[in-house]
Amino acid sequence: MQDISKELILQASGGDLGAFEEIYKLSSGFVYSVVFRVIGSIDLAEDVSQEVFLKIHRNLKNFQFRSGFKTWIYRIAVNCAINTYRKRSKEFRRQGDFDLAIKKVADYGENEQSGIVKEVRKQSLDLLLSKLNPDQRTCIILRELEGLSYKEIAEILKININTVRSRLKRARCLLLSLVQQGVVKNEL
Amino acid sequence: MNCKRAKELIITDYIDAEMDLTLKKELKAHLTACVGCREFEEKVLGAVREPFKHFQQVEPPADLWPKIKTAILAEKEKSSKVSLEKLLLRGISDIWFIFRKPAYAFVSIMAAVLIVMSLMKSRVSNENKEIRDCIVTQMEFVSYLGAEELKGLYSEFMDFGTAIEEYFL
Repeated sequence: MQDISKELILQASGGDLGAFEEIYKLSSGFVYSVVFRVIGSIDLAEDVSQEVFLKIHRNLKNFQFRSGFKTWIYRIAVNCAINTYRKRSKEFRRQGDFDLAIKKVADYGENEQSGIVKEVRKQSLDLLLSKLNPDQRTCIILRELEGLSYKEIAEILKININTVRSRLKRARCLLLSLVQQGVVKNEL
Repeated sequence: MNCKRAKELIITDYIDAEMDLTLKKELKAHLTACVGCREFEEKVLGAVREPFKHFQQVEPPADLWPKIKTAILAEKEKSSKVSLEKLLLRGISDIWFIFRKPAYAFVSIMAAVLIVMSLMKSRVSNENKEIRDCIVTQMEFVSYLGAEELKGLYSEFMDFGTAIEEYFL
């Protein structure tokens, strides 16, 4: 996410909708990606992203520049996504039945077209992420998708840096075992 | 450094470039000497890093901003209506406040007067009762004194027991 200037934030907090739209353009890519990856549903990702930006707009005047603006937005996005995931977790568990479909897709030989390969990759990634709990998934997404440091992740999630380390370790051990079990082919 | 510690570092700090130089040197030295840990490093990179190489940001749908904008404008309109209602309520409560003090004062005074009167009434009636009781007691005593059968008792009471007293009295 690109840096957002203090002037823009102050203008938006003063009620300037044009300034807020600029903030939206600079941060919507990340917000939507994180929300989508945490929840795992395109339909819900749109609703939750909308909720995230409405919360940002409502609370802009309370933002006092004590933390980074980027960190603040990440925090709102992650909290909304995790809360939604937890509320709907029963529905999401049922989606685990696509394992068989994934295996079929993964069984395509080396002559598959690039579109199918891309789809396999995407579905394998979704499968991997679906095996993690929301806390582990969030850490992996913030680390692998956005390239944030342990310190930044700890600040966003308001947890200890060792907790970040521990969650990443557990998530990666699980991913490692999944690949070794052959649930996901690793010729990605 | 033992293999357990080395593997922990490989799966976290090492692949995320979060290690300080001293620790990194130590790990590298261990990896040079330990085949098992080197193989583990390759597995981790393949299973944990590789799938996310093609991890891309997912772009939001084009109609997301229009929906957000509509919702923001709707909230602004709602909050301006709410503040108008608040102003009206405040006006009414201000008017009430102006007249409240004299009305409260009048009621308080009346209540005080009533309380004082009822206290005084009960005190007066208590005093009257005491006076009445006293009078009744006195009357009983007097009638008691006038009774014939008590004459003897009276003389007994009046017996001082000496001849001189009897002579003079």
